[in-house]
Amino acid sequence: MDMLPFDVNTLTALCWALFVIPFACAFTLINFGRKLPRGGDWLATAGIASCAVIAITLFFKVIVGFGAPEWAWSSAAYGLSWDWISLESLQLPVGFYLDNLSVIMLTMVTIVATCIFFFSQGYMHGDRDYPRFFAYLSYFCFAMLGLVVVDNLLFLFIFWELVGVGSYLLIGFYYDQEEPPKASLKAFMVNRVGDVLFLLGIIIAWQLVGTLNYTEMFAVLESGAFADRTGWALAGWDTQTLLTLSGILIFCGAISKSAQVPLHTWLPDAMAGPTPVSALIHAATMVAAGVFMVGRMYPYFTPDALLFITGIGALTALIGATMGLVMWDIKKVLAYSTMSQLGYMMLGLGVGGYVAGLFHLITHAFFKACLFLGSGSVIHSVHSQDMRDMGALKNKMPWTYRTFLVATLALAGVPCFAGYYSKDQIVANALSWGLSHGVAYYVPFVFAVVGAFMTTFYMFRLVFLTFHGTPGDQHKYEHAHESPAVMVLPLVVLAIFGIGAGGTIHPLAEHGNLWFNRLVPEPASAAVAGLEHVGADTSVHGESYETYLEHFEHNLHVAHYPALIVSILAIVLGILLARRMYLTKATDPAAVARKFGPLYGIVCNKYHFDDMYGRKGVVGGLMFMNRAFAWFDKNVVDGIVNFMGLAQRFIAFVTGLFDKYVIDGLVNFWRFFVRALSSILRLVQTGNVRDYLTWTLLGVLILAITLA
Amino acid sequence: MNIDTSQLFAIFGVESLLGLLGLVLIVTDLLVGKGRLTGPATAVRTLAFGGLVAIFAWSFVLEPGAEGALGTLDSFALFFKRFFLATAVATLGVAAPYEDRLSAGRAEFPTLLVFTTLGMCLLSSANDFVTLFVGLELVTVVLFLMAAYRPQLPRSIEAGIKFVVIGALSAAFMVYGIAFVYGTTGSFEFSQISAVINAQESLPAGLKFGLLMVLVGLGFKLGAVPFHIWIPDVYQGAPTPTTAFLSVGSKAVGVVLLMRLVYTVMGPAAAQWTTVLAGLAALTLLMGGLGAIPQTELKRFLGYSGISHAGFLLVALATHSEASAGAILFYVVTYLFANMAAFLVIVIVSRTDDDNHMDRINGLANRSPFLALVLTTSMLSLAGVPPFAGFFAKFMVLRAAVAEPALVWLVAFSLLMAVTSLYYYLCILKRIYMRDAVDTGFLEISGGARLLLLLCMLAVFAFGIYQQPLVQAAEAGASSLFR
Amino acid sequence: MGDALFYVFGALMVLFTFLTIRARNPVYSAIFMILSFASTAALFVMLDAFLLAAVEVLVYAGAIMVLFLFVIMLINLRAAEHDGLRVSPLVVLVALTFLLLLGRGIADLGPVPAGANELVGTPQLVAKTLFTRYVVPFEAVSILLLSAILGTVVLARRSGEA
Repeated sequence: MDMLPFDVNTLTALCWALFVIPFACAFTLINFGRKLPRGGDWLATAGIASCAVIAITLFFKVIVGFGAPEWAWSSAAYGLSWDWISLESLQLPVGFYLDNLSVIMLTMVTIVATCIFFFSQGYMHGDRDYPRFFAYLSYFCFAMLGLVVVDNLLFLFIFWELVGVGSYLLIGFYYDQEEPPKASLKAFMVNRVGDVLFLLGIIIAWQLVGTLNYTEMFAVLESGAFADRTGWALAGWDTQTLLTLSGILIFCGAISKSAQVPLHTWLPDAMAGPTPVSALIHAATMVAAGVFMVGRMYPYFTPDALLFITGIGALTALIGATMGLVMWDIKKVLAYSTMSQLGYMMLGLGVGGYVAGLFHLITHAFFKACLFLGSGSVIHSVHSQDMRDMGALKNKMPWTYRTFLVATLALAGVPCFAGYYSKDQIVANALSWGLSHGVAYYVPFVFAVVGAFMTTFYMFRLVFLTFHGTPGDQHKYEHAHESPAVMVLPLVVLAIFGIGAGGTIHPLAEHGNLWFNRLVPEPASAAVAGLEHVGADTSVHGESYETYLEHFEHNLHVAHYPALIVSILAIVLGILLARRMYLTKATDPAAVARKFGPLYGIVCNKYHFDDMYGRKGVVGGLMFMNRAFAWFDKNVVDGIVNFMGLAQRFIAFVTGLFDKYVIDGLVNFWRFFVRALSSILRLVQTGNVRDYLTWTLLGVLILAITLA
Repeated sequence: MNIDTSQLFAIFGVESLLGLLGLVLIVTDLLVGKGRLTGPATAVRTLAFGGLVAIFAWSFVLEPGAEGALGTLDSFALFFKRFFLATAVATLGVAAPYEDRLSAGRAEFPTLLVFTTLGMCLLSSANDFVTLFVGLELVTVVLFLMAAYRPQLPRSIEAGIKFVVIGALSAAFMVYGIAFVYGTTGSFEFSQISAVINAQESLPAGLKFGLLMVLVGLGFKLGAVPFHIWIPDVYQGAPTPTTAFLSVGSKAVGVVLLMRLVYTVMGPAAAQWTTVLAGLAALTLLMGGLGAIPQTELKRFLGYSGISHAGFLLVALATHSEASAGAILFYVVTYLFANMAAFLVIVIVSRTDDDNHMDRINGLANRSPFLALVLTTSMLSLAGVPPFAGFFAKFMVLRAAVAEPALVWLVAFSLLMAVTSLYYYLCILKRIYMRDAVDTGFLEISGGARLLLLLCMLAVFAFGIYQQPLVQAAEAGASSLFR
Repeated sequence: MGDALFYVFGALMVLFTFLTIRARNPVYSAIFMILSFASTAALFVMLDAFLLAAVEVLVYAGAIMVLFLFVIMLINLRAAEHDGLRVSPLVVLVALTFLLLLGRGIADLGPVPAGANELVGTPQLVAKTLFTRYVVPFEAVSILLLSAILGTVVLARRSGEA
């Protein structure tokens, strides 16, 4: 029985309202914010709160239809779409797509955003650009909610870009300081790299299936009725390769947006923005949009593309966690933790744990937002981000401490807390993946478990350093105070979700019975179905894909308890080690750092990713070029004098190359190329007409010769 | 052969009216306020503006389809006639705040503009090489004059002379090419040449050479590498309204004729040229993208930006499909609005003197938020950032190109260059929002300029969100090429 | 006989054009140019294009070159100080290659297509074609000349004069 009867019109109106309200708020605030009482913060907050009400209403609709997990207001079937462009050659209908997943996502985003809007009223109090801040936040919500409700990939991409602009504006919010503008530009540029690949993927996908609407895309894919591929087939591209390629390219968008290796470098820098921004955009929502997108497009990914996603996710989970170990800046720890958790989600999706990955996205959003806001509360009170300035704050800030601890336990995945249910599912899926594939495929599982250990360690290190022990800076300690209610209440709400988002506190709950698992069923892989239609080989290790899935399901049940035990062991180990090093101080952290000297250095330098993209890398690259050219000159001029010596030098050269420049190559080459070309350009653009004529004639000649 | 006058007017109605308008303007200049500077200028400008707008409006009454031996008025031609008329109107708008700098020639500027527009409209209806060449010369010669329009400035003279010399070279290529085509096919007419071309398995070297020379001549107009070399110097030296007109009008002339030649005259045979065109496109994108980075002069910068846009147009041209032809038409319109807005802003900010150094726009956001917003919109659209029209234009081009497997590398390369270009457009934005203003004088924006800026900005925004009518018009125009 | 004359006048045309560029004194340049035009006119005559030949002599060799000479004398142009033909090897190379390419194009012209040599330069024929088939470009040329005059007037005017 339908207790909340919604007709299509109501639903359409609600969808419109969801992103028009924040946009209207943003528009009003940016123009008239200074004239409104209190800078108009109440307007923005009321706006997002009303969105939350709408989302929760929709969510109840979902709950009511508990037995019917296929509830989906797909645009085409329910008339929720209209033609944006409709021409013979170009069909682009646009509409809303509401299914259980998007409704849950909407609910999460609006609730977290509402908490953060309230928190910001306290945190940003007295800021010079108070109205502008709320205007930007509202704008961001508009773009984010739009991203969730649209029904096709092109519009997802457009909102994706709009979200990126919001992030750019908010990271650079303190534009008169030195760091933020740089960080915002970095975030913008790094994201463009991913976005370009994403767009390329979208274009190829469009070419392949002839539509960008999710439902239609999967339907076409499943039936194997690919768009005309004659040209492609002639060019030697088979469908399987194209499908995998476009899937990987689409995922590349998520690599930059969700801060996956190697395009993660912008996320830690993005912490230069105000803390509520870090909580909303760079922890709970925007960075998770990449995961959401992968979830949305899940049936589109071929097994090979999923393998790629798994690899990137596993690497990110581990690398992020290791960097979290050594940071002293409280927000940086959380940033790397976010990166690592996003890696977990990708890993989960990649190994076939569709539900696990997305569930973790939801639970993580709540407790990570809570952690960021908690750190904001601490920073607000201590006026420092360095954990060495903190300590013993639990007496001064009891509520912040309590909520922070709850969120930490949730993040670590301690049983009964929300994070436990989602993270444990990911680990179980990773183990099952290993079991189904063979020995070499245990790597993601191992990474996940090691990552879980590190996560627990660095989070408790953070808690101990900040809230326990002795004050690092006596002066700051004395001036520390609990934050006002408007900041504490959102913390409490988020902490409650940190416990409750799992939907149960039964530690041994069967995964299939969790609310999320029941509401969001795993879609069948349309890619595999489509490939089978066109006769491509989809077998896994010699058995058909269906058999593989059965094995996987079976192994998942087998894996549940072993995975659980291993991850609980990792957690306990993490807590104990953190306690020994930072609470009881039985082991000196500095000694440990010395022991792992070189490794510690590499991690502290963020694996040299920044150097690689930055100036150091450029100079290095140019030096390498110089050396290479010099080597060439010398050897050509001298002739082959001593073959052995040459060979020796060659080996040394290659080793040196591998040592230092193996990853830099491409980036630096491009820069070098740009430089070389612009100097050629300078040579050509002399201002002398006679030279111009010569060059032009030369161009014509080359053209004619090419053609002849 | 008898001439049917009514049919002639049906095809060349716009041109006849433009010719008439030009003559009226000359007479007005002579009769009104003899001996004074501003009187005739105001009268001529108002009249030219009114006339152009009226003809533009009238062009929407016209029905495509009239065709004769002398010319053709298919929907493609009509689309571009409207485009050129709109460009001329916008250029008059850009010229209005610039007028006092045109000094002695201010009354003749609109007249010359009307005459070049006539030439451009004529070209869009051309269906033989004689009309093509004469029309092209009409356009170029008048543009030479408009580039050297401020003889008291050495830069303007330099621009004019360089333009003349290089223009002469391009005309020479053109004539050579036409002679070769005539020599091998025995006709000047597109339809007959097309028949000869497509009757043969492979083109004889003479014909190939001729067509190549013609394409080279048009490459100059489009600003394709390696025929782009005049662009930076001429753009920088010419008076800003002329540059604005050059950047849109001259480029579009190249586009119109290249499309006619490649899609209609060469037809299926153009498939053999895909690699050459794709190579040119890649080179043009590269040169435009990298050349723009070190620029510190606004007009020069926009010149390089224009080269990289020519690259995108070539990508579409290399793709031999109806979709890509439609994409080109869409592209040029979005380019028109974004570019005209940028040039008008340049005219306004460099009002006090003629320095167009990029410092001029530093801190624009504080001096005039309106101008800053307009310039931002225009730059983002040129860069191809999503909600704006420029994004959709690029998207259409690439979507058409990706259907051709042989061009996937080009699509990937264009995307790479699009990112590179984003860098320098962002540098402009950084100057607008994050630098302190170099000069702080009051920026006077007249009502007309404000209206035009608003119009351009709205168009850039509207065509990014609701592009259906424009896409429809573009597709209709493109489809008539393939009939 | 006709062939031999063609080559003679063709060679003369090339020679005079070269001398036009080569001469240091602008007056000499102009005179060489007249001679080059005259050779072109001779070629037209041999192709039975009498009107074109006459126009070539009257308009180019007559009117335009006289104008040139007047201008040269009025502004009292001196002989060029330096040798005008200092060209880089690259230019020579490019030009020669281009010439080769041209030769290749000409060599491969194929048979003369039907109708290509029907249009002969008698005044009646030219006039008829000009005013019927090519009336539109003809009118466009008139506009071109008109705007050229207009523009020249503007450029010649000193700033500030009305």
